[in-house]
Amino acid sequence: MNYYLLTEEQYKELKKENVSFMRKNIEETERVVSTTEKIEDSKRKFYSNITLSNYTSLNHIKWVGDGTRIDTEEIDEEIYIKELDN
Amino acid sequence: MPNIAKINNVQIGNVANINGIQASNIANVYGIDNYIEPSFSDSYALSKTISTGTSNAVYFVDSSDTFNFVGGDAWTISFWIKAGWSSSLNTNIHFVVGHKNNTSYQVEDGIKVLYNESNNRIQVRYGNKTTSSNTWYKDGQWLFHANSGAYAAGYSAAGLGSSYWSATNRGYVGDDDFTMITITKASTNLASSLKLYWNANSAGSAPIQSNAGTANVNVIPMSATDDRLWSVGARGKYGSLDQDKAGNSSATLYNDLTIWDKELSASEVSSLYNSGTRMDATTHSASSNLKGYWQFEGNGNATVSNHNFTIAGGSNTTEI
Repeated sequence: MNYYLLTEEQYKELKKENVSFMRKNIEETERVVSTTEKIEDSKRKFYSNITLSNYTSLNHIKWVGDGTRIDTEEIDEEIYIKELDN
Repeated sequence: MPNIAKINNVQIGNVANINGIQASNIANVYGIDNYIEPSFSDSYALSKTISTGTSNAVYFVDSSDTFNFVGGDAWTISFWIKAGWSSSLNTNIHFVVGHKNNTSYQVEDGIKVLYNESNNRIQVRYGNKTTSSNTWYKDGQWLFHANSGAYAAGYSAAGLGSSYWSATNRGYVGDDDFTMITITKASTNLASSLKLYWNANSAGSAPIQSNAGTANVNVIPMSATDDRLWSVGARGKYGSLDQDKAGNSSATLYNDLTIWDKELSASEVSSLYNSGTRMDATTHSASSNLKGYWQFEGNGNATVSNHNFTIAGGSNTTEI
């Protein structure tokens, strides 16, 4: 699995059928995703779900409103469906 | 005849022989002197602070196996909730969580009911996890803002429209802006056994279901004997995580939590909803299956069961 931070523009180009996890930031200007697709021009690439989670902890003001983080269990457990993009 | 408790709906003029009964021993004969008010009152609710940690938690440990449901059990968890979080929560808020006491994993002997604000869905999961790779779980998720296909039932049940659930968009509510959320589970050990009700409105089985994990449910079944820690308004205590995911913005209110050892039917859920007015659950037609009942009338004590919630720190019961 590959983990990325993407801009909205980069996300639009993503093949959604390969996405298993997606989360918008609070301002809805960026997204973190897990996908089987390899992306060369992402804003940031994370080594694992743990480093992605750590990133959201360091930047929690941007990503979660309760001062915590996106947990690895959320990254692993959440199921992406296209209706969430509506 | 000293033990007549109820003569409901009988006109006093038609009662021929009640000579010798002290009026104080007759509990419910409407329209006569010495009428005793029903004991049910509903003036307070639980206010779960957004401050986290055990020192602010609402919890009890079940050491008597009263709520030790396993995969093949039917059960119902119902509670009234008044959302306090804002649309910038962007993560989960955990409503009711039960898991093995002193564990590394939330889903070890676990049942959890949460709202995933970032994706506007209620998620219910139960299962077991004994190591990082040895786990099974059944998971149901109900999306609320997509009025199409399998998601239309949740959209119609909640009344949130296209906006996400929050303190400024509570959807369909009963008295005092509380919503009754009810999760029922049939005895079959599959995600399809889970159903969600928003007030008396059925959202049906989960449109998103997952029966996942590497472990065989028969090899690591949920334990019927391990002590479990039950928490309200936060995600429990396991590993390094300690009663967090409690919301943001302002305290969420919880009221009249009930746990049943059967799958309540749609009509029984509707009866419990009582047209939006919280009722005395001990008078419900399924009360023989009512295993836990917490009214939060000034404290965390149980009306049914012997398990009283500890309400710590900034959490408290507040007048509605």
